[in-house]
Order: sequence, then C-alpha cells, then structure tokens
Amino acid sequence: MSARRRFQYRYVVLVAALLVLGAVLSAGVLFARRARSVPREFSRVDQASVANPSRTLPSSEEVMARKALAQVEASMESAPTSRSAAGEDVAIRGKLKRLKECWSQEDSCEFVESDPRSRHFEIVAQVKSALRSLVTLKLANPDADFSSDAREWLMSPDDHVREVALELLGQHDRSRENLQALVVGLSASLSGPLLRRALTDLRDFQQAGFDREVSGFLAEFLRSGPLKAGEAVADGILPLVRETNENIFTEAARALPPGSRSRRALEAALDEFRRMRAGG
Amino acid sequence: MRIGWILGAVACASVCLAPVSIPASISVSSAATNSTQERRDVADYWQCDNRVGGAWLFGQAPSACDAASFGEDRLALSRYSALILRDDAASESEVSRYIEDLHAVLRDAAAHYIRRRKPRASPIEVVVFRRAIQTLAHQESYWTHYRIASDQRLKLMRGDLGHGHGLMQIDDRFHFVTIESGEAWDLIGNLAYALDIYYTEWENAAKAPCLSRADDYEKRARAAYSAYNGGPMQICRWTNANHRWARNDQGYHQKFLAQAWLRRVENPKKAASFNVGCEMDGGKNCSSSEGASGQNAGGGTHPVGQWIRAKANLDLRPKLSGGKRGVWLAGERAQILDFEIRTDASFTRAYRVRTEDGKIGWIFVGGVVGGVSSQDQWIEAMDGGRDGWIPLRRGRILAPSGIKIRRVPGGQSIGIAEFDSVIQVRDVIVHGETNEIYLEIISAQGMQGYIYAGRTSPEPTVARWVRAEENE
Repeated sequence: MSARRRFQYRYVVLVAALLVLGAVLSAGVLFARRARSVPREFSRVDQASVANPSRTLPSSEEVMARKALAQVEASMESAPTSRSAAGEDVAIRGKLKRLKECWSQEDSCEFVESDPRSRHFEIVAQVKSALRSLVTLKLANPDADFSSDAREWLMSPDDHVREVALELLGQHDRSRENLQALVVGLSASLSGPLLRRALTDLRDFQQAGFDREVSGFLAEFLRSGPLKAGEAVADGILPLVRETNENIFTEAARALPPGSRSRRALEAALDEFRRMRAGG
Repeated sequence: MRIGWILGAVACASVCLAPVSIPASISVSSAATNSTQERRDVADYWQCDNRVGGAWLFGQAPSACDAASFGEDRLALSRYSALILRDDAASESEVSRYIEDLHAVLRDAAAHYIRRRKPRASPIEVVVFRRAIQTLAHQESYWTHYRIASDQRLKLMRGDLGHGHGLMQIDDRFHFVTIESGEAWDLIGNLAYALDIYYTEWENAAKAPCLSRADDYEKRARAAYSAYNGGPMQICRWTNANHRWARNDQGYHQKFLAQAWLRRVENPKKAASFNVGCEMDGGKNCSSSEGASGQNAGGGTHPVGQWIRAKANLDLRPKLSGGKRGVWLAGERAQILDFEIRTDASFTRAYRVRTEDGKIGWIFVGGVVGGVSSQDQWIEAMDGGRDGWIPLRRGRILAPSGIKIRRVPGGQSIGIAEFDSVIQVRDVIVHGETNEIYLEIISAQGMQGYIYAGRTSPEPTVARWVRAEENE
C-alpha cells in the first residue's frame, strides 16, 4: 500500500471514528432527556419567573430548587414509571405521600420561599395537581377506588385541597365512612363557596339515607361555625330542608343572633319550605 | 492544516448538531375554570389603580390603590366615615382620633366574635383574644384600611406587592373568591373573614405541641399568628428563633407586648360609631346614628318587580358590600329584585337587579340632595322587559303541585292555580324583609285572588313558583 493510500485510509478511519463518536454522544443526550421524565414541579424557579416576571431570583434559590428536584428524582427512582393505571396511581400516591412529609416536616424539602406563605402555596398547588390526576384517572377507570385518598385529603388544613378532595370523593359511593370524612373536613372549612358547593354532595348523602347526620352537621355548623361560611350555608340550605329536619333547623335558627344574616336566611328558607309544603 | 479544519468541522458537526437537553416546558399552575377555591397566580398589584405610597405609621401604611376596584366609594364613605384618614389632614390629633375610633371597632369586633363562637369563653380569654386581634391588625397593616390620598381618591391598603388587601391583609393569591366578591374591600367583611381564619388557628393552637397549657393565651396568640402568617402547618414557627420568617413572629410579639396604639387612645372605652356586632352578623340598620326616615327620601324608590333602564353605564357589583365590577350597559333593561336605602343623611340607594341577559348584581344610584333624588340621572322606569322573573302582566305556574289561590295574601284558600297554567297578573305586592312576592291574579279558570310567588332575598326563589310570559 502506497504512503498516499495509507494516509487516505487513516483519514477515512479517523472521520468514521469521529462520526461514530458523535452518534454515540447524541444518543447519550437523547437517552438522558427521556430518562428525565419526572415533571419539574418542585422547581419553582421557572414558575416564579413566569408568574412574577419582575422578580429576579438569586442563584442560591435556584440551587435550592434544583436540590429539591434532585431529592425527588432520587426518591422516585424505584417508583414505577409504567403508564398503566396501576402504575400511575402508585406514582401519584407516592408523590402525595412525599408532599405530606414536606408539609409536616419543614426540613424534609426545600422550596423557594419568597414570602412566608409561598411554601404553603406551592405545596397546596402540587397536592391539588396530584389529586386532580386521581380524578382524571378515576374517570378513565370507574372501578378504581381512590376514596381513601379523598378521605385523607379532606382532612387537610387547606380549603383549596379540600375542594379537589371533595371532587374526588364525589366520584365514589355515598357511604358512611365517606360522609364522616366529609363532615370532619368541612367542619374545619372557612370557605363559603366550598360549603355551598358541598351542599350538593351533602344532599346526595341525605338522599342516600344519612339525613340525621347531614342535618346535625349543618345545624351545628350554622350555630357555631365560622361567620362567613355559615352565611353561605344558610343562603343555600333550602334544598336540604325536609320534614324530618325542619325542627333541627328551626332550633338552629333560634340559637343564632336575632337579626343576623344567617338567622334571616335560615328562617326565610324554613318559611319557604313550609309554603312549598302548603302549596303557596 | 486544511484537513485539520475539515476534521474539526466534521467532529463538531456530529456533536454540535445533536439535540441538546433543554429544560422541560415550564408549567405554571393551571387554573381550573370551575373551581371555587382556585388559587390564582395573581399578578403583583392586580387591579391596583392610581397606587400611592405611605408611611409605616398608624393609618397610613403603604401601599394603597383605588378602593373603587372592589366596592362603591360612596358606600364606604357613608358607612365608615369615622374610619377613613385623609392624607392631607393627618395632623397628630386627627390620627389619634382615627386610632381611637378604630380601637373601638377592633375591641368590639374581637369580643363579639369570640363570644359568638365560644359563648363560654372566659373573660381572660376574651381580653387576650382582643389584644391578639389588635396586634394582628398592627402587624398586618398598621391599622390601615381606607385612606383618602393626596389625589383625593379613596384608597384601599394593599401590602405585600399588592397581594394583601386591607386591614388584615387578605391575600388575593389564596382568597381570590373572597377578594373578588368584595368581602375584603369592606372593612367589617375584611375583619370578619380574618377573624374566621385567626380564630381557627387560635383553637388549633390550644392543641399544638408547642403549647403546654391551653390557657397560656399569650403563647396561643403567638402560635395563631404564626399560622395566620405562614399557613396552618407553621403554628409552632414562633418557637424557632432561627426560622427564615422568625422576624415576623418577633415583630408580632413585640407589638403584642407594646400595644403602641394605647398611647394614642385617650378613652379606651369610647363607643364605636356603629353597632359592630350587628354589622359583623350581617344585620340591618346597624348604625347607631340617627338618620332621616324613608318618607323624607324624596324622589321615590322603584319597587321590587319594576323594570328599569340604565341611562349610563353602571357598575354592577355581586354584593351590596362590593366585589369586582361588572357592567350594566346604558340602554339595557333589568328587573328590580331588592333595594336598600342608607338611613344616614346621604340616602344612598342601591338596587339589586336582574338584567335581561341574566346577570344579577347591585347598582348604586346616588342619594338625595335637597330633597331631590339623583337616581333619575342614572335609571328610568320602564313598562316591562324580556324574560323577567316576576311577572307583571302574565305568567305561567311552575310549582309542581300548583299554587293555592287565596282571598287575601296569606289568607283563606279559595282554589288552585294549576301547574303549567297561565295566569293574568293584576298587581304585585312585595312584603317583608325578604321581599315575599304576592301576585293578584286571574287564573286560567277565571278565579280572582292572590298567590304566593316566592321571594327575592336572600336567595331568589320566584323561579320555583312562576315564570313571566309577558310577550305571549
């Protein structure tokens, strides 16, 4: 082989080697992207910059956010990544479990804390997102049972979470166990709109045979619950008034301050109910 | 050399053109449109017009924005005149007067609230709870809610980049529905809602691991504040001097101990300018000041059921207490469901209306000056409209069992107006505080009498009984 030919041969081999190297590197990058299937929900940096473009986050906070993400990714290594329903709900529940830990043990997770409430807001947003995923999963798999998840999160100390938990509970049977969780959760609620929305579910439970429990809860809430939420309940109580609980609500009205909005609304509902019964 | 460059280019091409790992798409918290509790990624200073600064002094805390974004100025000026500080008249004596008047409101509100929620609360618990609330208002807003700024506009205090609203800094990122409904704009509404939140934590604090005794009320106050400020899971934050937000807890405690407002209150037992407990309970006619009677209102008040037309674009508020503005456009018609007249000298009138396209809300049409009502420049009475709730001439019975026809309203029954039958309406009678509607009718069978047709307050029920069919 001539020197010139040897040189050409080596040139071709070198180029080929470089091409192979490039292909291997490209494949490696693609693989790394696909393996990074964990949603970057714990990375609040990007969210904050989009939500509040005027804010400039210092790099140390970015580091903290990435650290939190790395912690989650590491802990989820063993979680199934199957896209089947069975795999999905395990992943979601795992995430919820970790969020619960983040919530109760401040040192277990780190979030960007731009103000005293931002950590709470962020955890709530992620819990809601996960619960909504269960709602979607339940719609696609009617036989799936997420009632225990709904019950658990109805007990959370946050009305935003309770609302999604209520939606999830609404996809399940009207059982005593579910009603008990609902009542305990709503007892701690401060939200008029949430209570108004829950009245529809409570009516369903009432019609399922739990009138005494539902009426007892509502009467007590009206009597001694938060003022604003109590007004909302009184405003919307009419569809739940019936002959079997008329006296309970009448007593509840008497216990309220005379002239108060809640009392006026409750008495108006009772009067309306009596007129409907009497034919006008 | 040339070959080297070529080699380099080839090498680079094989690597540099490979897909680069780019960040996953940014996912901002999405908003479910049907949620009642949606936390919103509310922008800083959302709905904040004509923002002004201030000073960290009682009644003047920064920042503040036009209050009109969330409620009617004239309502606030009428109801809370003693609790609005003017920037251009903020002398020492005026500020002291303001502090003394607001002290009375906070004192009464806190005591009323805890006694209502816990009738057996001990006097000590009531006293400390009251102090805790006064401290909370100091910590959150330096006792600032409304102000008239140098631009002569009524302002609402907006702290924390505009997210905190009013006296107790109700956060619009988390209490969006409350903000939008006007609850936080109204001073008493703002205070009542904050009391709901704080009291919940006050009770939770009694069982918190960082309290050894439930009757250690000072620690309960501190714990409740930590949770109010940082969320329910932060109830023991105040015990950690190294916490990121420890300065907030320390600030609260310092203010609790100092009670700086007392230095400006000459008479701590001074009566509030209105019945605070009554207002907190949503009662009516809570003002302790004398007002002229309705007979002197002048100009007449349009009755419930009357159709009116807007002569100019009018703000339509979801509640009497305010709320984010909608618009009732000039030329559109609406049927009156309710009205309210302030019994102070302004006789400010508000009507609750249902527009032809189904919007429901309150409009404010001014008051009476020199015996002349100003409402006529905003609205005019009409003969009727489409799709009203209360039939004025003709209607159809919707009650499944029909409606009893009575000789007089509420009197002896003489017959039945059958379900789905059409009635002729001769008169509309409105009765009582909840606007019970009675229609004088001629039934489909020719019987004359009165039927009950529901009420319009607090929740309209007319649609359960009848439907207007004026145009048939």
